[in-house]
Amino acid sequence: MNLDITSIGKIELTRLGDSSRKRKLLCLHGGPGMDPSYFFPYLNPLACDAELIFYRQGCSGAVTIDALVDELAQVVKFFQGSEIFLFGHSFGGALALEYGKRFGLTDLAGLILVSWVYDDKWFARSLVKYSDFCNSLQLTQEAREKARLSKPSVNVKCRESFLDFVPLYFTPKNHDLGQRIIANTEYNGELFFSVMGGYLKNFDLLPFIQTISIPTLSILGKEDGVVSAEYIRAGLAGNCRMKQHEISNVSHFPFIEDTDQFISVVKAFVNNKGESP
Amino acid sequence: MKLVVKCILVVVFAIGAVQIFKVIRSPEAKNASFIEKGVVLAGQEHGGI
Repeated sequence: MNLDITSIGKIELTRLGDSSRKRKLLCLHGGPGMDPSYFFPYLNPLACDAELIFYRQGCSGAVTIDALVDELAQVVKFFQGSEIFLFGHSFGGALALEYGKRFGLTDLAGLILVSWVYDDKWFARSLVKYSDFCNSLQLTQEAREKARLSKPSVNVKCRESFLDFVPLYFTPKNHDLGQRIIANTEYNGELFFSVMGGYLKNFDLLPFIQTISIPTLSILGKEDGVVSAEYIRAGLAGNCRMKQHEISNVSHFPFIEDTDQFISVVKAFVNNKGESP
Repeated sequence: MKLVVKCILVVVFAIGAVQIFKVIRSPEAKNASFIEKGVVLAGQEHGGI
């Protein structure tokens, strides 16, 4: 399996698989402000069916949704003429949809949206469902702030925020694994606080979702603690052409918690060009 | 007579105040305020997606 690095200006692409293959799976990580390391090695088996492309959002200096879409547009343009599937996990799903809203989806072969968000109500539902967890976490965060000897960097604060929510990102059987993965991820705190405090507080992609006509697969974890299954189902209700696959006993990172099922569903989708996964 | 009316008004207001306090302190109201705070503080107090 080949592993190559290609640069487009300041954007550094990590490419896994056969670069001569026409089919590309452009993988957009979540966060905002995480890096794509958490996809590895879980998505590696897909490299037999498409070249996998990864890049770190914000590597060009982007800290707003518009700039992130511009960044993504450069990558898509670089692979123009290929059979491109956009694969968006969590916030990466919203980024893929924002790209489609601005530039259209005609250059793409398909969309794969995993544990994704489409409007600013994504967290309110989880807050209701896990109010005890959130209230106790609030006390922990306040105590931590008071106990600090020095002001942490935004990247450290960003990592702490993600680590706090590991119990919602992963089912109990995978908390330790999730803790390690989240701790080993690098964070762009400036991007995180900019997009979380700005764009993600006020956005609505539902009207755009209703217009999507390219093959689209949505995958959700039934035990997702941050983006609930009910929320994603409600987003799909506006477009009966989108396909849905639900994986039991997994939370927000279904490709980590049930890799085999996840890979088989995505393989079927891309190999059939979006027909009946 | 005026004193009696005043006393009745005070009692009515006191009962009303107690009821309002109970609603504010209810678990539902606590959740609502946290949700509001969570949305307002998005990105500062909770992890991302």
